[in-house]
Amino acid sequence: MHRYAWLLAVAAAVAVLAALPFFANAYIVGVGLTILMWIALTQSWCVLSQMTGYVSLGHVVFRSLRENEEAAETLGVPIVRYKLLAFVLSAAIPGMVGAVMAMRSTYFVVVQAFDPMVSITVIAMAILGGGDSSRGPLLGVLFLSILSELLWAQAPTLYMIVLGAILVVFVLLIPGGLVGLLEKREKRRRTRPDAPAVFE
Amino acid sequence: MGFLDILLSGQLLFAALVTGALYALVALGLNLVYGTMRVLNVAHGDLVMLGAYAAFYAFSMAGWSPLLAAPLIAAIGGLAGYALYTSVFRRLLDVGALNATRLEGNSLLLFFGISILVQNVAAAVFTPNNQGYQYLSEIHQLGTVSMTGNRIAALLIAGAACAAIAVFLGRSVSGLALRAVIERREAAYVVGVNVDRVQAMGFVLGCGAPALGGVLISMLEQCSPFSGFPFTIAGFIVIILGGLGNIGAGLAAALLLGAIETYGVALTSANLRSVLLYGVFVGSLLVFPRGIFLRRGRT
Repeated sequence: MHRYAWLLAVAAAVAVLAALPFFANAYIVGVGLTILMWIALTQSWCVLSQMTGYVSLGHVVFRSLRENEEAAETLGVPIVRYKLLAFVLSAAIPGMVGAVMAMRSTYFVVVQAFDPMVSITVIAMAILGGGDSSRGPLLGVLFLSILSELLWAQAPTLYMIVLGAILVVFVLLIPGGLVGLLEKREKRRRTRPDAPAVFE
Repeated sequence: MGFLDILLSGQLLFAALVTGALYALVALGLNLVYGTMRVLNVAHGDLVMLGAYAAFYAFSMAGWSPLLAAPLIAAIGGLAGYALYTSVFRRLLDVGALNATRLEGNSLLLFFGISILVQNVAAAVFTPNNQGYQYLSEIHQLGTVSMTGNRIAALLIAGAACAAIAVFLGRSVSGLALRAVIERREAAYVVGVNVDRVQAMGFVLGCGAPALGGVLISMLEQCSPFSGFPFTIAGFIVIILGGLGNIGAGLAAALLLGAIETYGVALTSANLRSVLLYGVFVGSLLVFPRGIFLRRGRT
């Protein structure tokens, strides 16, 4: 039941979105649709891979590199090649995003495009979300995007202060991020004797 | 002006010395904090900015001469450093003793957050505009070189402060303990150095020095809540050039960076200033990853 809670949430969101045009403008509907599409895509991927037990080789290799490089090397993982691949991917994906961003704003200025704020925000999102699944960054993005939409226009300084405070608090006090908090709560619920058994 | 005229100009030499001395003072603080604790203080330049604002308000509100306010502001910076060390970093470093590499990465993010926080709180409190004041701005002639009084004062005070810290580190027992912790932390602990006290000392000096630097810089140029960041970068370039934790070489590297910046801008154009600085940064990391003044006999 718990595994498909996400699907229920998506269904509920579709219902809300269907009703939205009656009381909101097209922009909000568009943004909502896009977010929903991404959630649906990632979640259906997660559900599919869970059902079939499919885990990609790259996933395993990257994870082994992070956990123990020496052990991975002794098992025959070509670590230099995979590190290079990680670096290439980490450059290619932002490049792709840059192309889409230029399409959205239809123009760009070099100083603005190379704004260090972009890096700061992305790092803050990763720290805020935490964890090593796709859930972490998604949560971080969701939280910070909403926060910036709310604060950016009226109080940009306040937004930056909150951003800095988030970094400090999460590094010092909550190094696991939001996902870490969620997992801790799940674990606590699971260890309770009266809780229904959850298939892992 | 011809190429040789530029290289031999006393005016540029003086400018390079002033810039170098200020960089040396700022980088010295960064180096002490990094050397004793192995945490990368990205918010270091913001201490410079806070020192500059303190001097600005002391001058414009209370009418205090920056030269008189300088020791006081440096002392306040040192005290703030001590408070920060005992409240946050002592606990953090105790935990970090188990996995030092994780702390180094985390400290980067932590100070990054502190830096954003400090800059924007400063922007909210002090307004984000440039602010400055005129002090000792009359011109003195020495041969063909004309210098403003505030630049001479900044050069003398920064040089004296650097020399004082260098003598303290070189001659006193506490300084010896501090250098021991920088070189071999575990070994220093084993032979009975009070590492906790040394780290507190490193933090006090590491916050007092940039505060003093900020006071001196506020006499020369306007300050804004975001004017600290270039000094963070300059500090990092200096300690990369001089070698992390290597104090004496850091002083030489700061003068070198001041010279590169001043002469480089004079020979090319002011637009290339950032290109020059970051170019030196990246280049020295690629070519001399352990510093250009690597001591002989060390591997």
